[in-house]
Amino acid sequence: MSKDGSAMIFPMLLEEAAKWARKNSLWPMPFGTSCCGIEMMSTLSSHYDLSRFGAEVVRFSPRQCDMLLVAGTITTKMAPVLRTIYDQMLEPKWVLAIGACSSSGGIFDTYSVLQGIDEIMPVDVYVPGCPPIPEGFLYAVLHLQKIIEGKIPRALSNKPTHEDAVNAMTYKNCVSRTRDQVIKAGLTITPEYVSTEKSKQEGR
Amino acid sequence: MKNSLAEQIKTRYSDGRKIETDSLGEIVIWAKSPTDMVDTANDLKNDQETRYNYLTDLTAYDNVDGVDGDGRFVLVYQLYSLENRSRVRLKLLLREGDHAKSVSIHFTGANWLEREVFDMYGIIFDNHPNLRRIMMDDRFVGHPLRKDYSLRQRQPFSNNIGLHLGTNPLPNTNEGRVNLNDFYNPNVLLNLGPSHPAMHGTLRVMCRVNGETIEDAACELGYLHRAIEKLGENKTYHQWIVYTDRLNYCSSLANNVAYCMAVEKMMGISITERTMVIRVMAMELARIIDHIVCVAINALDLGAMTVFWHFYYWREEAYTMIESMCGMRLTTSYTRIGGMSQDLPDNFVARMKRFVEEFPKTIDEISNLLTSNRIWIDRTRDVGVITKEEAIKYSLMGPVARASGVDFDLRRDRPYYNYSSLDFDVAVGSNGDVYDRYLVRMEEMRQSTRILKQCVDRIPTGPIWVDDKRVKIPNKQDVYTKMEDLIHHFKFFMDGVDVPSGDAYSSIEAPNGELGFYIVSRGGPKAWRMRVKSPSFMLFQNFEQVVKGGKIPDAVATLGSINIIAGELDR
Repeated sequence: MSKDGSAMIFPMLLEEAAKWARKNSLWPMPFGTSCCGIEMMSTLSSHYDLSRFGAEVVRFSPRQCDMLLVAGTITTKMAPVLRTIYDQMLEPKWVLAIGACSSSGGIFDTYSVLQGIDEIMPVDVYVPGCPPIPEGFLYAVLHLQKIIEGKIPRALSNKPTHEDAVNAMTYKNCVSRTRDQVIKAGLTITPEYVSTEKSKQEGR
Repeated sequence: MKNSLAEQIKTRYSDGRKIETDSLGEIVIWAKSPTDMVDTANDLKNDQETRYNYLTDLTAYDNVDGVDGDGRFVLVYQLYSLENRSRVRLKLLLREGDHAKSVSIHFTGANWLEREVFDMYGIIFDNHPNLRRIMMDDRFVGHPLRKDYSLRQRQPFSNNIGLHLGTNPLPNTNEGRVNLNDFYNPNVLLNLGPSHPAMHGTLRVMCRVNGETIEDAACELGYLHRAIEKLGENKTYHQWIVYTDRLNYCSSLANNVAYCMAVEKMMGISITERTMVIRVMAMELARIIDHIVCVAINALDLGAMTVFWHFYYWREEAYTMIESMCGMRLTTSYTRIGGMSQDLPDNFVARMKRFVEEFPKTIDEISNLLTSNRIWIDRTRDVGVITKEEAIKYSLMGPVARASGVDFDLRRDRPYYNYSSLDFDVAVGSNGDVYDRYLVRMEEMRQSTRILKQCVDRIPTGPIWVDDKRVKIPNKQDVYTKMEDLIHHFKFFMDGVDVPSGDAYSSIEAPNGELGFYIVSRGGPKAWRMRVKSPSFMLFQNFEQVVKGGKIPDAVATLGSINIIAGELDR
């Protein structure tokens, strides 16, 4: 509506309008597990104020959100939880891997840490830093807005499906890859254990 | 006093037990058998002279190389006496397959610590109430902290651990499921976390609720277990400094100082006056930030948004100051063994003076908002009460214990650096509820500001690096121009610092409580065992008990007030 009351028509494709609306009203689902989660809090709070870019309505319900912020180390114990949350989110959805740990495992190349969340879900924007400064975080959100607009093509090269994710997380995959190493290390993984574990996986 | 106590222990407990002193001069008693270990601990606790009534830490290390004698593992208790302010360490050699005996009858706080030892080393504790894995998944095979478990041996699983209540029986259900639509069902299982708005970070609590009353609760942790202790054995002492940042990421400066202090003590290095004051200031600044986060988030959880926004302004100011000191906001890595990474920036004193002048005003404003606020009092008073006896029994420390009336502050009781020359009070509460914890934290922020005020006026001039070839990192300019320094620089970063063999426990009063590092060295640049004694671990153990009988919203208030940091909890 213009000031005199007459209606104005914007010649715009519905798709474009939807993109514009989406990009300016991102609803984040924060998944802050560690240090990066604290920086995420700083970004959301008064000083840096993420709400300037329309992404401040933090909701912990994945079904209402379209931007998953994975901030912090994801351990192998946490990976199934994260994937469940990703699966619960409705399309269209975008994922930000914030910090070195969620992008690649970071400095924690250990027995309990997932080496990057892209093993179990597609990632749109990786934010480097340990933890990234809030400005980096804001830059990532702005970058994501450009992706939503279509100005930057969305990376689709690595898009693990649910099955891929389960394979990446399961014992089955792990056993086939590293069983020899386990036995070499003299640990107590018996063939019986492996076969029962395998049959459990196939039964499921 | 201290010497006579040592003599007493030596005469009383020497029959058949080996008694020695470690590299810091603390007494180490080698127990004869698992039963003897538990009995000695109990004797030391109940003896009117010694009164070692506080179990600081319980851990183990792998003795696969046989240096400490004939046995695969060494089990270690750290005991502390609140009255005598002294420590004693009990050790026990265990062969592969030997069972240890649980000490949780005498020290309730040992429960989770023993579970952790079981998880990491596979040592079985007889008479333990609930011996199962704590950090790793139940389906995990092997024990990761054993020397023969490789650092990178991952064992992922495709699904999360289901609902359980520890060893407490699950309620009878129809076909294994609770009908959530049945409003009057007195046995509804409720899962909070690991991703839940009310649970911070990665904590998970599973409760059995009757209406809104929690009748049974069990915590599941390990969702942020990043193997920091294992990394301590695989990285050099210098490399591991960065991992201390990520323990309690709200107060990484304090962790840096605590760790470097432990290594310096083992090497017999005493740092310069200037570094000492800078480190004290760093620790107090960290305390302020940590308490800001705790109070602000606690208030935010209970609906008081203003506190969060208002406090975070000062947190950002503190972060800007920290950034100017060491170049990072959160993961600081400010200290080095024997010195600091950088000297203070030029404008630091002026900035800090502004901070200590202005920040107390904000504390007063926040106090005006909360301390006499009817809603705040209703939500926090007599909620999540921890009695004094319970606090000692569960080995709680820091602001939580002080709020319960345990007058225990390592800065005063076992002063390190120049705390003995500083003027500050220790805030002690009486009720041990959420409200008291809030008051204690507010007062500690005031006291920290007071310490900062005293420090900022008397920062001594002089070098920040100790003059010791073993640890001093050569000046970058000299590295580029002088051959000797170049070699030294190369050797330092490629080989690392050589720490003499022995073991030592060193701790500081971190914002959350006693943060200790127990280092076992076999010589060389890497630690044989790097144990982090984290305050959050003990606090969360008690949380399981505190929430029972309360309402679900009370659990949220309690959790916010005890300030669990997952990075430190799971390590």
